[in-house]
Amino acid sequence: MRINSIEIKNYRQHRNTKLDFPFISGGFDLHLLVAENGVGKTNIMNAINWCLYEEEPYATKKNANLPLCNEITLDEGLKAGHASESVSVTLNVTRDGKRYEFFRTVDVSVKDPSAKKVSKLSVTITPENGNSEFYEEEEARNVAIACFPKKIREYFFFDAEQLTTYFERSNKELSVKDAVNEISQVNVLSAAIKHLEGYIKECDKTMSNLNPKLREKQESVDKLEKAMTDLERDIDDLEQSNENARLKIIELDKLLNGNENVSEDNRRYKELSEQIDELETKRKGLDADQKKLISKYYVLLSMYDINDSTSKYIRDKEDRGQLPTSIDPEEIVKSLDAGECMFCKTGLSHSAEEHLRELLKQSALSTKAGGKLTEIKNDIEKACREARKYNEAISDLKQSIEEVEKEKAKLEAASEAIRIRLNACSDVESVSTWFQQKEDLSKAMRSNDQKIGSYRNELKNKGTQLEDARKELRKAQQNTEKCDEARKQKEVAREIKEIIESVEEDVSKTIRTNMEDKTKYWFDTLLWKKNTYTSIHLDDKYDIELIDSFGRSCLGSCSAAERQMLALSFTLALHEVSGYDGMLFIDTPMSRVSGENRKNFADVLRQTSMEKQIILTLTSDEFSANVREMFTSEYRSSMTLMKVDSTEKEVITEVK
Amino acid sequence: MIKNVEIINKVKNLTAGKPEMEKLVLSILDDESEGKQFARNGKPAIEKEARERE
Repeated sequence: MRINSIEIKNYRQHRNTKLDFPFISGGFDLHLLVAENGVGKTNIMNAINWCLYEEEPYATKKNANLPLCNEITLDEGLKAGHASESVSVTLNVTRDGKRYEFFRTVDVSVKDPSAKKVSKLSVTITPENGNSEFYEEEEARNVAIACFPKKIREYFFFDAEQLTTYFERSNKELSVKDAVNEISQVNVLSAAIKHLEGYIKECDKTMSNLNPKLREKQESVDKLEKAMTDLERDIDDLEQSNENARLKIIELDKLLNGNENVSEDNRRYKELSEQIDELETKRKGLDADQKKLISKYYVLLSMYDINDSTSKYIRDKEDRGQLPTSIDPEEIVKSLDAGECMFCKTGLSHSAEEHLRELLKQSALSTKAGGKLTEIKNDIEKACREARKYNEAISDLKQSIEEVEKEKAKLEAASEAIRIRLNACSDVESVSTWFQQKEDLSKAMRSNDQKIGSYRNELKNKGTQLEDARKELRKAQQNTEKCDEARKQKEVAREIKEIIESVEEDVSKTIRTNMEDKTKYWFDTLLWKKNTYTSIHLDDKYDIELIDSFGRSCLGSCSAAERQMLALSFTLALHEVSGYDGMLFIDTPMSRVSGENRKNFADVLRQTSMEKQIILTLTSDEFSANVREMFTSEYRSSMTLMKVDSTEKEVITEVK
Repeated sequence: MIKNVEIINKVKNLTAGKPEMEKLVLSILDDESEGKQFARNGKPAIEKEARERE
């Protein structure tokens, strides 16, 4: 990567500075900007940084407080009545065969030039053969960072002061180790490992989330499919059974043709026979009842006439007052014993006495008979009343018997009619059997139809369930495929990660060793005191240790020039070892170096410019005769002299 | 782009006999160095390699 040109308009002292850094194949890509102090050398680095990052890291406090816009431009703008003046920096860069033109501009208020304004960055990328691409804002900033990583800008833009404090960590955005990793692209390996780790975790998560449970889903589908097959088979069986029944019924119908009522007649005949038997039994029962009744009333009926006469006799006697009897035999006995009437006390005559004796004899008899009659009177009447019920009872019985007989006769007549019809049929038993078979078959068909309906409903439900289960299965299968994919992706990612981790470990070690060697090489080249320092050591954190010939660590006691040279050596080693193709822009690199060291310094930079672009800003002092000779005598390089106009507010450049 | 020859050589050594893997690792590293999103480039490349392994 190299800077082709920079065009600065109205930026601080630079009203209209255009610096070209032409590339000459086979020559040194070395470019010198020579000017006295205060002319604006450092502001060229600031202009580049402002263009790329909108920062001015090398601005002095005085500069920082001044308006960004050139003061002459502001004055002229004010006089001309302009509201604002435009500040811009255009940086033209070549990188990987593409041309990048970064352009940052900001409008500065003429009346209030310190007011903060938002600048705009754009970049146009033009490939060697192809259409240009244009980016603005965020995208343009990303391109700037990709070309000139801001984190490591101190390793391609620096001034002499930075070289002096190069190894002081606090002065840098990144530690030396981080910078080395960044420049040598070890950080790319680390970032790739981090991304791969994240990706592997993603794969694990994917596999975990999918959790297909394929076997369960398959079993569910298999179970439903089997259930449906069973149901379909059952339905087929039932339909076949119904078809068979239908055919059998057709056959039976043929057999039963003309004998449709035989079975019913036969059934009815049997029913009637049973009813007739029942009536016969009932009839026999009634006969038995009749016999019992006759037995029961036999004595009563036999005695009825006597009892009835006796009853009438008693009632007659009673009607005549002869019963019960009014003579008291005891009074007669007393009168006879006393010889006088017990009522009138008259003496009994002989005839009266004979009469009383005769009366006594009669009364004795009538009284006994009368008592007996009175005694049996109720029983006789009861027997008569009972006897009189017989007719009613026997009449009821006879009526019942008559009704039974009548019903029986009716049934027998019906039975006889059926029997006659049945006698006309040759094989009543077979017909009944066929009819029964038909009935049974029809019943079975109806039952089968119900079952078929039920099974079909069940089949429909199972079908819906199966469809869902198959969807689940397909999803699970897809998930399984996805799982399998994720597993394979994880395997690939892990393999790549292991390779990159191994590369990272090896490269980190190699880079450090190479850095030590190369830094020592360049340091030896730069330093005129060749035997003072024996080795350079870099620890894990890339803290540098300079070992002198006595084996002592001596970085702290080095001169400023030595420290600058060590820093430059380290930077050159870093660029070389890392393969970083960035340019180097060094502001007044030799201000603290003199004599042989300065010559060496210039020589090293000149040599390095064969490999990469080097832009140096030098003061007149630095650009001493021997340096001038080193840089310009034999080899082609560009040199621009810069001075300011009489107002000291505008840089004038002159290309030599 | 990966410019560090050490990295490129190490990758080549570790993927010797597997040109596809070499290409894949270097493409991932190149993308990473360009600041391209891993999800946009690295992931599809890994997925492609995983599919091709079937």
